[in-house]
Amino acid sequence: MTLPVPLVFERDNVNDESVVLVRWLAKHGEKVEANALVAEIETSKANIEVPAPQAGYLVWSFPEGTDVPVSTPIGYISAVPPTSGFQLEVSSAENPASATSRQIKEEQLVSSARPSRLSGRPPAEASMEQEFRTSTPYRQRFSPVAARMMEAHELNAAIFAGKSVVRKQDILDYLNPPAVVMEEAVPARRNIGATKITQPYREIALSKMKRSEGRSLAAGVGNAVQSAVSVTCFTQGIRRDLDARAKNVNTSAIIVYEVSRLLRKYPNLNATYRADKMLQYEQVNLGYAMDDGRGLKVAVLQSCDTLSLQQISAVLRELTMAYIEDKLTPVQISNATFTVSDLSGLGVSSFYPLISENQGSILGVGGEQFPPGSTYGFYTLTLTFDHQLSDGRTAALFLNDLKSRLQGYEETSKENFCSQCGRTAGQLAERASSLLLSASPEGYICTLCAAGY
Amino acid sequence: MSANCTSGFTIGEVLKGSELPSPRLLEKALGIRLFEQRLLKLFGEGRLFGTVHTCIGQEWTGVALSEHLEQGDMVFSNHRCHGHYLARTGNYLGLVAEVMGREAGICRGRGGSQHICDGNVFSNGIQGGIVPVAAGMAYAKALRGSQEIAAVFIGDGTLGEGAVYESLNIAAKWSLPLLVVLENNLYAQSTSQALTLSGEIEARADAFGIRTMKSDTWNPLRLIDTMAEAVHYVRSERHPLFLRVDTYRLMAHSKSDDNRNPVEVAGYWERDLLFRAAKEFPELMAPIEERLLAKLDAAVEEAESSPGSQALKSPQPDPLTAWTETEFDGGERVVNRIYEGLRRALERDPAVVLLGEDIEGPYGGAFKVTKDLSQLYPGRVNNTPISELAITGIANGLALSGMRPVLEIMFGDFIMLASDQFINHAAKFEFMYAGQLRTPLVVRTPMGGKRGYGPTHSQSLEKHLLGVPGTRVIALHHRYDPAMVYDRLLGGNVEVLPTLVIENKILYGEKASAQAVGGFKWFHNGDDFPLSYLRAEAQPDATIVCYGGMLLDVEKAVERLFSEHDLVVEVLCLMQLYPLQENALLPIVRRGTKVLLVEEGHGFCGFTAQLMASLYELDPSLVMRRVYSDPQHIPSARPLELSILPDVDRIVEKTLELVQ
Repeated sequence: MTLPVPLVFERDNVNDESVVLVRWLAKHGEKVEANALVAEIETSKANIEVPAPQAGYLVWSFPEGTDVPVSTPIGYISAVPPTSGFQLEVSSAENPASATSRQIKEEQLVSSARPSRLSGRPPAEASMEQEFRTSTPYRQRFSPVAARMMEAHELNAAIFAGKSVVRKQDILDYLNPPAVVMEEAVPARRNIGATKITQPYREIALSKMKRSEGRSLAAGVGNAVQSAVSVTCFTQGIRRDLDARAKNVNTSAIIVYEVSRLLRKYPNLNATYRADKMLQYEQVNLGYAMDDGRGLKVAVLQSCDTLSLQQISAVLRELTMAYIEDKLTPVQISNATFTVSDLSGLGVSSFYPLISENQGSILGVGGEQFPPGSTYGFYTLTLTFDHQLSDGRTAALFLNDLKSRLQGYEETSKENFCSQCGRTAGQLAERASSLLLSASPEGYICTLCAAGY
Repeated sequence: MSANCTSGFTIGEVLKGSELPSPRLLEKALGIRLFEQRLLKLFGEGRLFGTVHTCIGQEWTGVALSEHLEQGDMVFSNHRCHGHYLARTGNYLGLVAEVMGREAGICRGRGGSQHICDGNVFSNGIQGGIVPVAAGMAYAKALRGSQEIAAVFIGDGTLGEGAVYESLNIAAKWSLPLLVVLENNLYAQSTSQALTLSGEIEARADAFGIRTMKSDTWNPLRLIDTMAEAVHYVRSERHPLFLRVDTYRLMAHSKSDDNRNPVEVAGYWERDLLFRAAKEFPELMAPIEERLLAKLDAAVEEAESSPGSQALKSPQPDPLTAWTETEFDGGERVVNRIYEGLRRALERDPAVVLLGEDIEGPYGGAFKVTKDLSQLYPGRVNNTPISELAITGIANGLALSGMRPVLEIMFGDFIMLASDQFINHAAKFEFMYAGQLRTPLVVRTPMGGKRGYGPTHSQSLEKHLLGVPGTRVIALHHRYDPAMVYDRLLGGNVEVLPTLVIENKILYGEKASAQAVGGFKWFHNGDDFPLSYLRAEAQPDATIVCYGGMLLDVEKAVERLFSEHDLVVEVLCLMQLYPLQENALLPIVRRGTKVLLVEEGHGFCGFTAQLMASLYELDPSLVMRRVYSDPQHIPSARPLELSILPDVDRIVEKTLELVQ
């Protein structure tokens, strides 16, 4: 499956900071031909019409009338119809990064009163009693490397307001803000195991990725006082059922969905320890560990608690594809606040996951085990947590909460469901929708999916 | 005895009585002699330090001149100046206190014996250099249309100095009211005239069309009459005159260095009028001597008991940290802005006078800076002969007389010809004369290469004149209006210091404006000759410090470093090279802590070497590198010249080295 292709147009005025999306000429989800006109935009010079770069399904990223920054695509052409309806307040699921960047931008505006944070320098520098007032503002410019990075990460130039010259390092600092004014969380790794080895061995260099993985885990472990709690969940085969029916919703998505909401109820698990303080994260960015043998990567669903189940499914699919194609971008693997590690596919019953760098807990999901001949099986959920921030009781409460929610899905799995979106008859009834028998895709399709939302 | 010392009459005739000078005159002359003898005695007793050059035997020259001076007349003397001073002022106390290093001294002990200034009598220990200064003083009188004159005392040894001839040439050509009195005592320190002087003394002045007269000190009354005629001529004709006075120094050059034939010396003692008068007319001379000795004793006693010279305080002005965005109506070439500044100065202040080679319109200067100023302000913008030393000295004389001279030295490479006047005269007047007067000298000159003018017309020699206390050196650039700089320098609100202004040839054609590299802006601080700062709203990776013409290449380097290497480099462009305000630089260079120092000239003992030392002394944590010219002479062939002088590539390269 190919990634969606962004809509682009000729920049006729290099000084334009944004363009106005006057109106869409085709609907969200509509199938369009190549070169068909899909939108009308207004630049500082003229109104121009935007053609579709190829045939496919039009995906809107913004509603009509929006002032869209020039670095952000107004929409995409997708090979498949978009699974979610166009929601006005947030950009589509196809574009999680811009949601993040918007939120981060809002944070930056708040913190712009403290420019020293942006520049990464200690505040003492600002006490140089010299003022540099100007009658006209500086002209902001980006170095060629920085300009390319801005495009790649879909960042808005306004992020760097107050910086007149922006370099690659500035962008990197923005994307990975250093621990400002705080001490090093992790003491330098001690060289444990320095005793002499007395048997023959072969020296093999560890890959950069493996070394980096090791460092990150060591950092997480070193910073946390780890303990773990497990619960056993009974199942009648939910995983099998869910994964078999809807292509779009599976147990992974459900676990991610439920965990991210639960973390709002248990904020101490969405935090990290620093110098006698708990830093509670304001966002829930859920990291989903992936490893198909090519290396462990944790793909991040930003602001996961704000995404619907369908959106989460879509993002997980996208991240998986990116992982397989080795195209995970820096944005997609950074800023996780909590990690879910699912080893059920490997037949693991339970395991003790390690807390990652800058986090405070991690959920390990084990595989279903069925006693021979029984229709009832069980699987284990393990939560490793940092005892400096929470405790066994909290962890237990969290796990039990999660267990009961997952149990809820068991009950609904026997109902008929839409093979496209996975919603059950019961859920559809709430939306004044119904299930239709479908030949393609085989099974049932709800009226919502049939209409193309 | 050589022909030059015959006097044409006998002592006996003089001592007949009818030709003896009056007691008043005798007292004057004897007072000088006793004073000088007392100094030698004090030295012998260890109550004096330093040195003196006594004028024993030559007293009558000073006495004779003093008889005809008006109050506003200036006298400039040399190391052997006590007689010239005492004859005019009679200030034994002030002079002995000066030699003794006391606050009560006429120069508060700063100048000592040979650097005096009081009652319009000046002296300096550089005998050739005083002649053009005196000529400048005479020139000021001519410009003001007064009836006063300037007189300068030289020795026969001084005739070896080129400054004398340059000055005589100009004095004659410009018709300056300058009286040159040559005390011909046959010796220059230890060297007899016969060994050093070729040709005739008067012939030298004749060659310039200057009237000459001749006299001697063995017939003081005749000398006084001759002096009267000479002074009258200069005063009324407003033209120089060269008066040769034959005489003989009866004591050593300074304290005891006398290698002359004792028989010769003894012979002159026998001819000396005061010596003979004391022997032949004791009833006349003894009471005079007694009176004078009492006066001297009192003066010496008072001087010795007065407080010693106070320690000097050199106040370090606080760096003015108020920064202002640089904004001015840009777009005109630097050369036109300089013109504008000079024109405004000429307009505003009648004391401003421009001198230089080829500066008059319509030619308007080698680099067309002065253009039509001579036509706009006739008589105040004047071409000079090719005499860098003399014209600088003349400018000094003008400055001492309260004018504001602006001297153009056509190429900075020629500045060394003027360096004596800058270092030994201009820089020192205010100090050694204990602040009695200022020297508002301005010398402007273009430095720098890249025009293919070759080794002696492309240099950056300013480093050789940096660091002389009592001076100021500034370098113009195109990011701060040169017209403003001249407004300030010639306007009177800044400290009056002899100032060397470096203009860079390459900059003449550049447009002066506050235009900055994209993403940056120009600021300047509150100093009179401000520090300019190219600033970005970002954390810089490094800072470049430069001045003058190199700013062009530095700006190009900043652009390249950002667009090709993703580095933000800020720039500090100095205008005032000396005195250096390193405290003003410090907070800015600390923003990046990596500093590149750039100059066009040679690096050995160059300005960047000083900068590096100064900044390191203030903050050893700074990491610094320098860019300067290859240690070679500058060839004329263009590609070769460009490869030797620092350029954008070298600046970029060195910055990358610094940052990585």
